[in-house]
Amino acid sequence: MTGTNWERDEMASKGVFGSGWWLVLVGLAVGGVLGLADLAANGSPGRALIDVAIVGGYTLVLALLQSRSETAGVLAGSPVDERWAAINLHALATAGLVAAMVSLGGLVLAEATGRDWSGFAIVAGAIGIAYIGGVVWYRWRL
Amino acid sequence: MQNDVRKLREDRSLSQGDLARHLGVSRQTINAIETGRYLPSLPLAMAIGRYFGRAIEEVFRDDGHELGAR
Repeated sequence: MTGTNWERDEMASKGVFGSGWWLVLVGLAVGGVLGLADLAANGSPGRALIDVAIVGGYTLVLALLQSRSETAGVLAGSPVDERWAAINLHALATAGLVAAMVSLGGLVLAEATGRDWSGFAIVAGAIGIAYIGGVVWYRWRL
Repeated sequence: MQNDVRKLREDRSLSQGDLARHLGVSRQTINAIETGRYLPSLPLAMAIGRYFGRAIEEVFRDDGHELGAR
């Protein structure tokens, strides 16, 4: 096999993060935190379990499909080659742009209607700082 | 940018899947390169050239676009 640098880097990183079961563990952990927050807010163990099942189930499906589907591989955080990595980057950039526009729009709307806008401001600020930090970081790295 | 990947592959009676396996990429990526939808990285372009025993500029041809033009 000829192999590329991207492939070798990817194989090395898989050695660190292991197989798709790592993804399932992260999903269960995120679902568990959401479930605990739901439990604290509503006192309903059933709703907490549903939170765990939804996030854990989503990551389990991705983990099972990622070796058969390139799209599932991207969604699972393991693009199979450089083109799928580029697709992943474009999709992330699109999602970031939409998140920024929604948070800024929400901020403006909340302020115009006299509601609490601090949540939108925190998200918009985090996106802005992450973007500027990313430009500075990758300007140095790339 | 144009390329001869499809011709070189078909001359060797290889499927897109065969070439993809040799290069360690997906079949869709080979198809995207052949149809010009995806421009491979320099390491992958060099791997393709090496696989076919050709220099990179024999496989990929510049179609006159000026780099850095805005």
